[in-house]
Amino acid sequence: MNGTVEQFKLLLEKYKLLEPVSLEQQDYIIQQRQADLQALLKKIGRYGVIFWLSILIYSGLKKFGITVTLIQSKIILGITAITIASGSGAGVYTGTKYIIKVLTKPKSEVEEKIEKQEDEHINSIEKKSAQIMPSEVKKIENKATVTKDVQAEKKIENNDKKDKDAGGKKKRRHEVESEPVSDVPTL
Amino acid sequence: MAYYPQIFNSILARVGDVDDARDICQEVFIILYEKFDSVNNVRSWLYGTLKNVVYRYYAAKNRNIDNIDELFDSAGLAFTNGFRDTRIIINEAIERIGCSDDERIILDLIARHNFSYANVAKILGLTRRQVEYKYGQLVNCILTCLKEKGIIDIAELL
Repeated sequence: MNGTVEQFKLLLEKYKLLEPVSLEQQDYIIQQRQADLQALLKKIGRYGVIFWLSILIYSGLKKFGITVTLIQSKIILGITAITIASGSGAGVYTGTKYIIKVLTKPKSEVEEKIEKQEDEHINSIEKKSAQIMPSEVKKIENKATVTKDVQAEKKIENNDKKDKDAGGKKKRRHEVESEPVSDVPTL
Repeated sequence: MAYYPQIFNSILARVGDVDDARDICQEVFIILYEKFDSVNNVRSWLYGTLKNVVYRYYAAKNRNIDNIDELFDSAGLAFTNGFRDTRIIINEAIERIGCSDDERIILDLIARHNFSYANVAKILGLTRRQVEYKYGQLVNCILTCLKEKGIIDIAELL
């Protein structure tokens, strides 16, 4: 393919169908394009943000291989502007709604009150417990002493019973041994 | 604005001064903007208007208008290297191949104005490879067109 391209170039050169431009001039033209377009639009009186944005969309889409006309790029700009406006509007609406919600709520003061109430409740419980404690302690101590006395008494009674039982048994044995054995069967 | 570089080059080739070429080019595009709805073929309209605006420029500068036809060297009128007919055939083959606007710009800038592939890629927002490939395809189209007109091998013409 390169061979045919080169031959074609030579053909155009030979038949003087060329209008060659130097590389410096090529660079100058490419660099000046945007400035010239700006100057052109100013001369026409169409230089503005909307036109500039539509040109940006036009060139941006062209870079991705999508060719659109200037009118189509203006339509795209309009649609994007509408979507951005509606999106930002919805954002602002939800934001203000949230702020209003937050403002109307009984906020941190209430929370402090609750904490205070909780603290007061805890303090009252502690106080009550502190008030109750000494009497209860006395009661418990009394109970403890009573039980100790009862236990000691029970022990003594048990010991007495044991002694009595042992004594009775001995007495019975002695009585049995002392009683005369008769041949007559008892009824 | 895709046509801007080639119109600018055409004017610069005829006028010789960069600032004057810029002014003329702007004037041509302002007229295009005003008459855009009535224009069918933008490229041919631009070249036609370019010729008129350059005429006016020469008239304003009090230059010799008699020699101005030499500036717009029509292939049909010029007798270059003694092969006028061949020149017309080649020019027709270049002008008449069916291609898109972008392809036409590629052909004009590379073939006529000797632009590099990289610079054309910058102007059209394409890659260098894309431009090179498209230009190769266009040259092949022109060669088949020449074959149809009886020129089997372009080496014969060189």
